[in-house]
Amino acid sequence: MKRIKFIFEKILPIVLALVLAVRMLCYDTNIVLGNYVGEFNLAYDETTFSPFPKLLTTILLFVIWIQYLAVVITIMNNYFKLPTVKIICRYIVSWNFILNLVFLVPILILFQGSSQFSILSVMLVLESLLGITLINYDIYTNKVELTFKKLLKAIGIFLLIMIPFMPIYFLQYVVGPFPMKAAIYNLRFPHRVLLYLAVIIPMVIYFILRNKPREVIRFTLIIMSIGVMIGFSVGFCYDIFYNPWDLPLHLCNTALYIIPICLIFKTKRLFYFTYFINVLGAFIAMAAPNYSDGSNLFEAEIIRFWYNHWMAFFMPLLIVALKEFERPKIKQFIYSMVWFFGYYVMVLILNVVFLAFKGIDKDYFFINSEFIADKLGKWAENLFRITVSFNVSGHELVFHPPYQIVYFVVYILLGLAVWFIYNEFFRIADRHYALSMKLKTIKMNQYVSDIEITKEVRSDMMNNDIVAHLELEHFSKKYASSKVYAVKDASFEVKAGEIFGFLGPNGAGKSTIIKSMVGIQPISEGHIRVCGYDVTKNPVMAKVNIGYVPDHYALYEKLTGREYINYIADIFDVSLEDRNERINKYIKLFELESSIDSKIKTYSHGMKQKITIMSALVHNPKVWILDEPLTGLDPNSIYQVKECMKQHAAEGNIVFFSSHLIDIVEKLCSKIAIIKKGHVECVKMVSEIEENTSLEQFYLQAISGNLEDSNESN
Amino acid sequence: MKKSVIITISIIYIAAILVVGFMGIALRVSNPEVYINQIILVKDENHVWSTNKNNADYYTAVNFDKDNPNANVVALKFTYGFENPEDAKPEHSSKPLIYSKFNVERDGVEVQYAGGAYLVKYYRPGEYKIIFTANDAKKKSITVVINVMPDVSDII
Amino acid sequence: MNQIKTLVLLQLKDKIDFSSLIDKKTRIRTVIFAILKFLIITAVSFLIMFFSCIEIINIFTPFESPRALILVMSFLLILSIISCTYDLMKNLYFAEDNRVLITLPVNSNLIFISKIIVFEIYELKKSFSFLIPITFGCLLFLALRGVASFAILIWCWLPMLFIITIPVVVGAVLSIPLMYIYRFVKKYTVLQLILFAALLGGGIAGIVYLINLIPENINLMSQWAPISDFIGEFLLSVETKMVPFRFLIEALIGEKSGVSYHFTWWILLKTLVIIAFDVVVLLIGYFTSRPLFFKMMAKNFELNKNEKKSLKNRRLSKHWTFINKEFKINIRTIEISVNYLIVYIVVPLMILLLNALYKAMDTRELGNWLIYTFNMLIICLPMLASNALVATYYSREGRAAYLKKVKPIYALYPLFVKILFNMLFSIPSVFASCYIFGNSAEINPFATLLIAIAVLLLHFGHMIWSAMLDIMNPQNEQYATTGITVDNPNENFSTILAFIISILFAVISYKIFSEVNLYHWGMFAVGIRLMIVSGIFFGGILMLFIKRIKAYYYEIQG
Repeated sequence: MKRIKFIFEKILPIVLALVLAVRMLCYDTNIVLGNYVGEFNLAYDETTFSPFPKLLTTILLFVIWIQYLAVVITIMNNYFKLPTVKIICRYIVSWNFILNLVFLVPILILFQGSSQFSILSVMLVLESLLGITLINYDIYTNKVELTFKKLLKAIGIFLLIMIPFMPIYFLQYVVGPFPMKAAIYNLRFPHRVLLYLAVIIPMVIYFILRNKPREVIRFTLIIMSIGVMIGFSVGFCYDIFYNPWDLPLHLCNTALYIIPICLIFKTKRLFYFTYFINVLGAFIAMAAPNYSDGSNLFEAEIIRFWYNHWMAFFMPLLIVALKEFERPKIKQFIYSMVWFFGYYVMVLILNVVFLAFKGIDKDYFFINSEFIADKLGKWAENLFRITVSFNVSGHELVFHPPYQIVYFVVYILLGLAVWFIYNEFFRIADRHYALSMKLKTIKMNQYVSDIEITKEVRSDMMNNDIVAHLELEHFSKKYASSKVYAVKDASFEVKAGEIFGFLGPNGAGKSTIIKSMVGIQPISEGHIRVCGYDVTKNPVMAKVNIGYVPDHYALYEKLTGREYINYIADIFDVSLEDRNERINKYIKLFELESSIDSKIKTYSHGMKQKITIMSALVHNPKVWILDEPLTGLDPNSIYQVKECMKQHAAEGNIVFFSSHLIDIVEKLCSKIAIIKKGHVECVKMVSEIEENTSLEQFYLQAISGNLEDSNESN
Repeated sequence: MKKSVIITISIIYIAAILVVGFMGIALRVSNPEVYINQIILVKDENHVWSTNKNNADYYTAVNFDKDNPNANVVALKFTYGFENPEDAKPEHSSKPLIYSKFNVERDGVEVQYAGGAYLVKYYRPGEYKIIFTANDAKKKSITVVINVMPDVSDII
Repeated sequence: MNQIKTLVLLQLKDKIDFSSLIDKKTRIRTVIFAILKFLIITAVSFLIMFFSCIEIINIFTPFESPRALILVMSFLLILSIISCTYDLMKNLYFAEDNRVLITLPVNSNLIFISKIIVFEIYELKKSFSFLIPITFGCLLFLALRGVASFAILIWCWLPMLFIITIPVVVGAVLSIPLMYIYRFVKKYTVLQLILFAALLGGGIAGIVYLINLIPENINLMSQWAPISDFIGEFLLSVETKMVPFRFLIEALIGEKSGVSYHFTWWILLKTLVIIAFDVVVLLIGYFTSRPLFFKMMAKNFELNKNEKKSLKNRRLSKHWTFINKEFKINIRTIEISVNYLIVYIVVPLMILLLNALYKAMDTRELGNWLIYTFNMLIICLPMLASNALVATYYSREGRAAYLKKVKPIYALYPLFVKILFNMLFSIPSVFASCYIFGNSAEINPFATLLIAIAVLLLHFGHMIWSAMLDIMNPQNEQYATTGITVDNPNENFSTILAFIISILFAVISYKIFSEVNLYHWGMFAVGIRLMIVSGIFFGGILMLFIKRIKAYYYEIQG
């Protein structure tokens, strides 16, 4: 059993891969490309190139196309346990293997000109048989539940992953020339569109894949890179071994082979070579393409160029963005430069040798011709013209040392420069990812709280009896940059009609608690409930019931007092009658008749504080929170504020305030809490405290830590 | 806005004027190297110009209107004196060119220069070949042939 | 005398920053920079005179060049008189330090004299930046060309001192009636508005009229002679009509004899006349203000207890109340309203002038494309640069900013409303600028509309980005405690972004405009493309703004 498993899961896939490779190399490309491509002009008649009618030839080419995908996905099915992939193999590509056998003879005629028995025919049959075998093995060993939805999804994904596998001659043959001449050079509009796609396609892929499991990401990247490699390689055959100058050794061509190898075998050092060098080269090549006639979008040469360069440009970046490989550091940069040096020297020598010995001007990486120098200007051309030559067996090897050295150095420097650009983009991508994750969390909470709000708002609107209540339950607060808790595990409750005094030394955490209650700061742990509404889950309903007076008055100084209070009243939806009544009452109480219609800028400190108090009371909140409200007020104002507080509590509301003025707290409050270094030391009724001692003494004991002793002694 | 920003914007503003002033002006060459190269405006829709016919740079055939002698005129303007013909605009009048001299009675045609245009007036049917030559050292010329056909009613 | 000296020194210390003189190194550096600046301006002035006289340009001959000096002097002195009058009014009667000075045991007349002296010193310091080097450059030219004697280069410093004093003393006299007018106008808001509208309208009309005077299709080369003749005639009329200023120049360079100016005793007499003029006017000013000065100075501290009528309370919907509040605050914040006014009025005028100058040039195809590009750049640059103020809008609220978190309304709407007015006020400006551009470049109106929308979207996008910078990185505490920030990082970043975005947009516009002949729909297609580019930018930024507020706003520590 183990042996069978080993054969089917390890040996056969490799055999299938080898069969594909051999098959791809063993037909004469000239027939294929000559048949399907030929002289590409608008007058050409495609029927002369294929012995079959147009429809049949199209179907055959389609089968050939899907066959590449079928083989690759069948192999990958062994290594990835993805249900959708299995469905694709079983229900879609398996049919193509069968079709490949059914149409074997016409396919052979297309590939080799005749139906003669050959290695190609054997390989094609073997391919299909192996494919069918592997799929059947998979059906036998793995159960996959099929539903209509899953099948649709599989078809959709199949159609997408088909695209990279498209052979470069396909469109030109099947569709013919693109209806209009497009200028795909000189940054003209069609050229620009293709450049935009070079950026849009990877972004779309990134957004689709970024939340997917690692396996799915890896599968997608591998199949994309293999697909483009195959689609590109249909232009080659076995004669590249006799004619090494036909090897795809241009920089961007190498990327097509390196990327899948790196992805499959996880070779990091080689990968970073493409990251630093290929991406840059691909970008430059796309900006200044070197095809002979960039005027027809469906031409095989154009498709080959763009598929190749898109892949070389965005794949390495996509791979790093999706964290398949980590962001490179200086070590990886150095390794890639070493690889680059090796590549550079190799192509330099090959160019020179091919030219000298075979008269073939291959010019890999454009370092042995004036192609780049032409674009840079006279200085570059002059530099290029400085040559050094060697005579070897009667052949002259010509080098251009200054130009080639400068080229190498500049390329490295550019590589270094673009590294910073990539990092910037990745940083932005990461930030956006964090943002979308954050929004997802908020959305989930919001959804819960929205439902609750609607229910509660409806019930509250019908029933106007919200009872004043304030509750802290194990509330803790830690500021973002700090490891220490500003407030730890604070719990207390304030009931309707109570005036609650909050005491503590400076920096104890009073303002932290108050700011968390009113919504200025988020809560780290625990709950705060105002009139039953949690301030995190139902912030709007909680805030409706709060009137807040901050420690430093915060007003819009350019507005008049009346304008400001009306503004606050509008936000709290206070009716005109109510606000008229309340505003007039407080104007009289605080003696602001002459200044209420002047700009707040002209007010004294006390007047500003009074306006703040008025604005906090205009909507008659159930819970009135004041943070050290009496600081800086004259005695008359203090008296007025105290009267307000008493009256507000007498109406069944809560008054919660922090202060340093112990004697005022003692006279005013029914309940107090004392906080020290973020811990609530005690919560007690004032009447209870005063049975034994004065509030001042009690407070000092609490702050000095003698509170427990005194409690024990009592 | 900060002072430095205002100064920078002012500099860019001045640069915008200077750049166009230096790079964007239609170059009029005082001693032109490139000369008469095309007719840029033909007033009369009756004249449909073609080229290279009868060894002429411009050729047209038109009917002679014997009832309205004032209609038998062609107004021609040439681009002249611009490095780039695209820079020339219709309102740029040509520098006077030397043109073939005719005797009205003998030749049946005369050429006049008025308001930047060359008026070719023809008085009877016939083929009229007028050569316009640049008035400088290079002396490049353009040949214009106007084939005036007799009025059809004459034949019928 | 001692009292005057003390008063002068007290005020000088406050007005002029002497911190650079404490440290030796900074002292040397300050002096060197000052000298360099002086030399550069002198050199520029000299070169302008020099090039005006060369044969090709030939605006005037060297012997006619004093006319140019008269023109320059007239212009600078008139400007100086206006600014001195206003500044002196503010300084003498409305300065904050009057509260302190008035409490000192000195006669108010001495305060008056000390203020004049301080102002004079300040004016002298200012003149070294501009008036003096320009004049010196011209005088150098005259001396080198033999129009005047070399002695004027040494002599000129004396009369110059008293010439600079003229605006100060004249200003001292004129500031008195100006102060009364100012106080009168300040009492009535309606009058202020009328005056302001009249000045603004008049100013704009004047500028537009002047710009429209620029003829089209100027061929500077072939039409130069009549232009230079015109300039020559204008300068001659300046010499004949601006008699007082000619007098001042003659006090500097000497008496005209034949074609050149000779250094005679008349120079001394003229200088004495100038000194006498200064003294007389100063005395007039002193004696006129003497009975009034203390009263006028003190009155401005009195708090006017205006009997304000009690207004009614008004109820607005939740959404309108934010708009109402922002509108009131915007209008009442001088810095913001002036910013709107300046930028949104100046930009169309700049475009008008730019296109008038372009129309005067006979351009080829490349020139036309450059015109389109530069129009886009010059419309976008100041508009976007003015958004740097938006990057302070939220921080300006100081502590009031985080109260948005306290109110029972989702913060996105009020945050957005803050920039709504800036958006609304910029619309007419953008449309006006684009209309002027489209009209000059003979682009069809619909295409112009599309281009205007493209610019507007770009402007809004940058505005939202600036707002986002401020919301995400608030500087509330700085504003709360000091009222200003010294160096707001958000403002700086917003300005840099403005430049980058404007330049990028200009480059893209160039590419799109240069392809206009390839599009079937011509300029209409150009408009659509630009709109798409701006639209993508605006949409992206808006989405980011909304998302960031949703995700992070309530967590930012205020």
